[in-house]
Amino acid sequence: MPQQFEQAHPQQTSSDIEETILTSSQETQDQSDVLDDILDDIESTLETNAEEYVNSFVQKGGE
Amino acid sequence: MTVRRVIGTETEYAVSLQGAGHYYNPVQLSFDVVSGAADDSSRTIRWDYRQEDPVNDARGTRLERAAARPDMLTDSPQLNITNVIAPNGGRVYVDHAHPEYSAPETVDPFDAVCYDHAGDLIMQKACEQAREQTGQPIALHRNNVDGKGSSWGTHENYMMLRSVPFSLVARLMTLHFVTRQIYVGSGRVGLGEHSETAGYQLSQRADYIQSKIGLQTTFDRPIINTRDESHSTSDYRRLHVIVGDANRMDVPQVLKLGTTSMLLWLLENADQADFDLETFLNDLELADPVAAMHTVSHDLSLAATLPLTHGGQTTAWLIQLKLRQAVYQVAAAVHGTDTTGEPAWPDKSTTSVMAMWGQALADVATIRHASDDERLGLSVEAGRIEWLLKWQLLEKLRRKTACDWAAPRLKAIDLAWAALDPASSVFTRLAARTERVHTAEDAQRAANNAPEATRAWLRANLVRRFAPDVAAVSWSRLTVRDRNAETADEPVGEFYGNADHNQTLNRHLFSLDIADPLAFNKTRCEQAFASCDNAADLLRSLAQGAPTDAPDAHMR
Repeated sequence: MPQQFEQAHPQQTSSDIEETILTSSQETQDQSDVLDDILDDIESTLETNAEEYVNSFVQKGGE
Repeated sequence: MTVRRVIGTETEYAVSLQGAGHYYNPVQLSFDVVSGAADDSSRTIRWDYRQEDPVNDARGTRLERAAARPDMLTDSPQLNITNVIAPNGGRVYVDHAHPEYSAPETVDPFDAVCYDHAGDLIMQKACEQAREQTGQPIALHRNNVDGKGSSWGTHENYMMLRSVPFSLVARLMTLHFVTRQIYVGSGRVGLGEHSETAGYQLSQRADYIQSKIGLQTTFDRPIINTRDESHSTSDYRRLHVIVGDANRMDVPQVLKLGTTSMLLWLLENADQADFDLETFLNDLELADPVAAMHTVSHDLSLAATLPLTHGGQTTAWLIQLKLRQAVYQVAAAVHGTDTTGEPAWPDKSTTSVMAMWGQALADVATIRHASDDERLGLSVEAGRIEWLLKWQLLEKLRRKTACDWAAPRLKAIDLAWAALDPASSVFTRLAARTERVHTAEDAQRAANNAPEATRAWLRANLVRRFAPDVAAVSWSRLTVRDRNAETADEPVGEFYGNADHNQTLNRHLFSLDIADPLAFNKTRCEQAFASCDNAADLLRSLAQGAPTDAPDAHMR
């Protein structure tokens, strides 16, 4: 890792953050498995409805 | 040097009808949703659009009838409700073709995020009410693009000292807004305003930013918006930021508000710390900020170089590192440091934001040095960086189905990520994997109760207690009917051209200037609620006790 990227590490201990963060994602389940489960879950819907869902979403501009 | 200041967010939601074959008019649907947010008592309250009086005027003046807007003289329900005062002191209204929620004024970025999420609950409830009232499958999305050319906004507002020259604000904020995308972007499928090119980028909003600075917000959108409508007193301006994404995750939102607030403090305190802002800004000045905005958003390698005006080049990550170091430098000069060299940050929110900023830059460095395969496994970082988490899900599906980035199913996931209804939201399924800064109960409480530290408390509680007597409300002024006025039965006549004659008996209106966002907080107003039994007496008593000094917007 180049020098410039090492400097990014926070100077504080992580306890400052932990005090503020309520729940962290320290779950035992592997990220990849979690994503797979969600995709399995929604894929059947996606296959039939994705195009219609996307095409019917038409907005006017805002600020 | 603190991250605390008056902050408020505005979120425009996308409104649509679910299912095939629907033709819909988003303007009408927006009215339907806003109407769904109203209850019987708040239907009669107007939003006061009049130009505010010059600030620092005497507080608590009797409003001249000629100065009253005609529709403030009626207490009949509005036919087309365009404004609703939310129970928490925020505002739900129709803005162009979108229902919008403006959060009540808060004094801390963590609170601001909580009140922003409270808006999601308020708007989803309004949407469900509108579905019931209209029988139509209305749906809201919290995003910024439709992939077909339209974009709508998620705005941040910061109260800051007017004494800082705006040119310095513009130069520093340009650097920040172009480069903060690397950790606050919410991710988008498609490149270009019409998604002309297939692909994925860090930010929803970047491709719709086309100029460096300007007043406009709906076309040729600028990096720096110059709208100068302070909703405060003359010592302060409101920095209105339009470049941000609608995030679903907490950490990017805290960072967006927190780092920006810290940099505004840098501007306000640089002189005191003998910090050479001019040289700092000169050295980092981007040759083409608009192009850089797009480059940074499109650059998944996180290594793209950005040319500098005075020669050489840099990266978004390096600019962020230097911005953070500058804050450290000024804070150390102002506050001194502890034995570890850490500035003595004055409060917990500031300490947290500075640590989270450092963590964000560490996360981006980790992502930058990871291959795509490795990036798919970065679970802790994905709990803090929204564009990464969204990318992981999309990339997984892309590999699984061997599709390219133009595939409708990828666009559908991007869209469903933003669905506000928890039943159809893809993000909701992953929310437990992300780092949160408040609980669901906190957000629900914030949907029903105003922040206690600002005038939002008075606004919300005035409406809660005396809704039938509230004629009009705005950020900086409250107007109520004075039912005890001696000339109460003097007819208004045709003067106002108001056909609803019976409703417009001349009840005097009493108006309270609440331009100072911090003066009318719970501590100051609570006693008046206990001792007054009508709205006019309440405001009158608060007017008498109004402080005459300029507000201290900063939580020193």
